[in-house]
Amino acid sequence: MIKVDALTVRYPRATTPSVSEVTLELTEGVTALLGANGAGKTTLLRTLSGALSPTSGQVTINGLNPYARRERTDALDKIAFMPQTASVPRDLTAVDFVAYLTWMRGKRRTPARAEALEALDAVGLANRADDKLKRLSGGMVRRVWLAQALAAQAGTLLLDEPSTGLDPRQRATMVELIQARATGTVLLSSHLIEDVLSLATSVIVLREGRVVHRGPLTSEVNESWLLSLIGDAEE
Amino acid sequence: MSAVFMWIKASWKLVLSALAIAQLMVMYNVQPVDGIPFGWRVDWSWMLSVWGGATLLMSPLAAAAVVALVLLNVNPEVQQGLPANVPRWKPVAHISAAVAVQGLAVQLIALGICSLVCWLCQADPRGLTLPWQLLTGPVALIAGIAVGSAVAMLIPTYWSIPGVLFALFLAHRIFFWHGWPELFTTEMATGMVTGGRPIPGFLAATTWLNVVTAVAIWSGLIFVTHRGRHRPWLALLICLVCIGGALGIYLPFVLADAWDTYEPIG
Repeated sequence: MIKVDALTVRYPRATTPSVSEVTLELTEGVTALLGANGAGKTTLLRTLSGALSPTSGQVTINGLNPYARRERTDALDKIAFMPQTASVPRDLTAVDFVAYLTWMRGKRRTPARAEALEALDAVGLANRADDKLKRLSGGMVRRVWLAQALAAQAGTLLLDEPSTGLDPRQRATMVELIQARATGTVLLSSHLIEDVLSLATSVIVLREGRVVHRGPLTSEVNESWLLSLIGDAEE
Repeated sequence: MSAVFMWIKASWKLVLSALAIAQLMVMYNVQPVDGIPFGWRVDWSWMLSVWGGATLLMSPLAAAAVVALVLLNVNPEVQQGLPANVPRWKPVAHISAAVAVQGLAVQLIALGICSLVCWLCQADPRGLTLPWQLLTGPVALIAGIAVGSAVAMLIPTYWSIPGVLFALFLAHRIFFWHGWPELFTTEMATGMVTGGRPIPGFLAATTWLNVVTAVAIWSGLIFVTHRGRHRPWLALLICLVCIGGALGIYLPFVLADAWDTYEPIG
């Protein structure tokens, strides 16, 4: 379980914080993080993943503080992050890359490779495991990033815009994969309401770094209402 | 498969061949004896001098290879996807180690072949200055690779590839011919030096200067690229000690205005 209490994140030299006074609690199930571009979704996810330190406020993962020296490793073991990027190490094969990240998380080499193969199989890339990443399509690269998150076997998955930039067929594949494979606590950011409605059980809406709505996805929550909450992208 | 071997597998076609060509070019281009190339075959010390001196090309190439591999594979965008508890320098260290292993392998094979040639030609062994002549080339290469690692992490642009290539190539303009310890590349005898041998103290200073420089660069990198809280102050301390050590090695030679790097045998 992730608890966030009055979290504020301000980048150096920025005049306003990217995430401001966010308080939330994530339990089992898929929660969607909705917001326009620049609303603070990626900043919030990267802070929860331990990559960014909060300016103020607190984050705990199963009661552990990911920014405290003694608790950091244990806390981050419970989290896996899929970044928004389409960039990958071009010269590595898919299995080497996933195994490499799994190994860097502290797994031994042989189990890391076995878990990498299993994760690539789970995302439908078993037959491309030995291909160099520069030979894979954009959709496949996103699935490789999902595979490395699955291979971590963490209780919490943070997925940053998993289906953005994909063509309709690749998007449908990604949504199916998340539905089938993402278990435990999942927080996924998106600005594609269609994907959110088919994946999530609850939703958090961010606007200018602040939470403007938090609650379950019920039948009353529809696309136009969510769009009105999201507002326009920040200039 | 270890991380270093994985990066070797990913890069050997380009890196290993480029470094081997660089080593071979230098070995071939030194003044012939009796009109035949590979003139160094008549003197063991001359052979080792040219062998280590190939770092004139190998160090810049290896450093540029590190920058290129890092930019292509673990650029800042990819780094965002690394687990948060993995330090940013770690994949760069793996890539640098992979390039270093390939460079050292080229040097080792070249040394084996050149030693065989010298042995077959019954070369003169009197000028040998061991173990230092065997160490200066490899440590210069490692120091050059450390520069590549630093540039890759601190100036991650594609301009850095030719930039580091030329900068390290030009390093010999600073360090050669003054009798000062040499960083990143080592001076080589372009003609026969029979009757003389490299001064052991000079070679030892060159070896240690490259070692402490490489350690200073890496510990400095660990410190400055740390993200988040809990800065690694020990790394900063090691960096400062090594910078002090490098100055301690280098300055006495500069102040003494030393010119000689060879001394007569006996």
